[in-house]
Amino acid sequence: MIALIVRNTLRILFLVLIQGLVVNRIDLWNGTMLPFIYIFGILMLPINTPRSLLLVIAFATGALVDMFTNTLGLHISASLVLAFMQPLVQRALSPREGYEAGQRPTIQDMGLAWYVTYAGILTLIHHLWLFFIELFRFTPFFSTLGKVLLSTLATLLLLTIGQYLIYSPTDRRNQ
Amino acid sequence: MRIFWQLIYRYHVFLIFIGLEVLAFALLVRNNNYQRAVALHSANRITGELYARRTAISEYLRLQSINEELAKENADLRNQSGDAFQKLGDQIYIFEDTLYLRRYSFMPARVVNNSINRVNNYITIDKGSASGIRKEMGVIFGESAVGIVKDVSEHFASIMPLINNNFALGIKLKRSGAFGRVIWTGEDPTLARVIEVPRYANPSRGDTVVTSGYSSYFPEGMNVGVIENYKIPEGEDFYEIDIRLTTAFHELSYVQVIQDFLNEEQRELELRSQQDEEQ
Repeated sequence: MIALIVRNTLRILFLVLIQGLVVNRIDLWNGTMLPFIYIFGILMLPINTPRSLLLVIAFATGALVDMFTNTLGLHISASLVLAFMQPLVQRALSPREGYEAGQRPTIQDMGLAWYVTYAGILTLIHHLWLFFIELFRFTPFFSTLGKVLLSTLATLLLLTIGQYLIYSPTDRRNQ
Repeated sequence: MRIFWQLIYRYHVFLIFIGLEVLAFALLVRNNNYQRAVALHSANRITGELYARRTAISEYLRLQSINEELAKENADLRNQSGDAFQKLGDQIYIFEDTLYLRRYSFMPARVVNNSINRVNNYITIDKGSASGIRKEMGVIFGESAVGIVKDVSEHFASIMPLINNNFALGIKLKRSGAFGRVIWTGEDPTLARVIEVPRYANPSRGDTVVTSGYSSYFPEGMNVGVIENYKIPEGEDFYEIDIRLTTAFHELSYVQVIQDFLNEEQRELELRSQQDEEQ
């Protein structure tokens, strides 16, 4: 249990640092493609995490990211939406017999199709919220929507590659 | 009453969500209006330090282009060294040989963080109140306007650049002298829009847009941009002019912060005449 908490906390801190110091510098085509990999830390929290705890973790994660981008509140808000929707998406995608105890929301445990659907839906929700709240209005609508879609693709690609790099397929203890 | 508690319990996740989300929005709006959330700010110590370290690394890899920038800037400065002074009078010679009164001083600072792809961009520099930086000082690079100091901590300051949605600055067209205001359109960090330019201004493509010198942020004549396109929207009296910004925001590494020694005097005088009128 302690190991689980430590592992998840370290993962989030690491991702926030990478996001703030490296990924935020990625600027493809004048900011049309902005990956936000820190949400990986929230997506990978165990499936049975209490929902209120999930929200608190998301709040803290968002605040840390906001410190780097000078946008206090923006990433908090988007992370909260993500954390609120995450259990709902997991429930909608649950296998017929429900999740096994200790099953992780990873490619290794759930398969690539499940993972891409799961991460894809939640990344899209997060990015939609993030980009439109940052804009604080609905114009220009289509260019922003384009940014959202391209950025979602970029994030999803990085998250999927990251999964293969971080998790080993056989080691089930490493949940 | 029991039912009430049951309801609360049943929807507690949703209520927590709404509560935290309201808090997030309160922070967001407050932060957008005042740019100061004292503790969690990139001008704050921790991230400032981290940024400074990252910059130390990435700067090493860019030494050559930085050298070129600095050499070019040195040459520019040599050509304009008289500009920091304002002539006091034509006939009256004050003793102590003070023909010129110093008006501006320029302080170099290093850019340690810089965003260009957000809607509200900011620049962080490595000089703060300890070096005499105050809020609302103008910031330039070479001969062109960069932004205005928005927030200061002891060793860092954050700057609101031209490419921030909340930014607006008084300008004039160099050729015709007509005044207007420059705002950012929010999409391309190399473009901006000039508004409120009156009909008689007669702009043309390629004209230079410079700071008006009316505001106390910048000396007169700092480059802002070059006109690309202009039109008068139907039924309006003012031009809408698209300009290409002179400052290359994506490659800023050193900037200069302007201190205006006569700023206070000018403001006090203007305030006094306003008050006289009201009486």
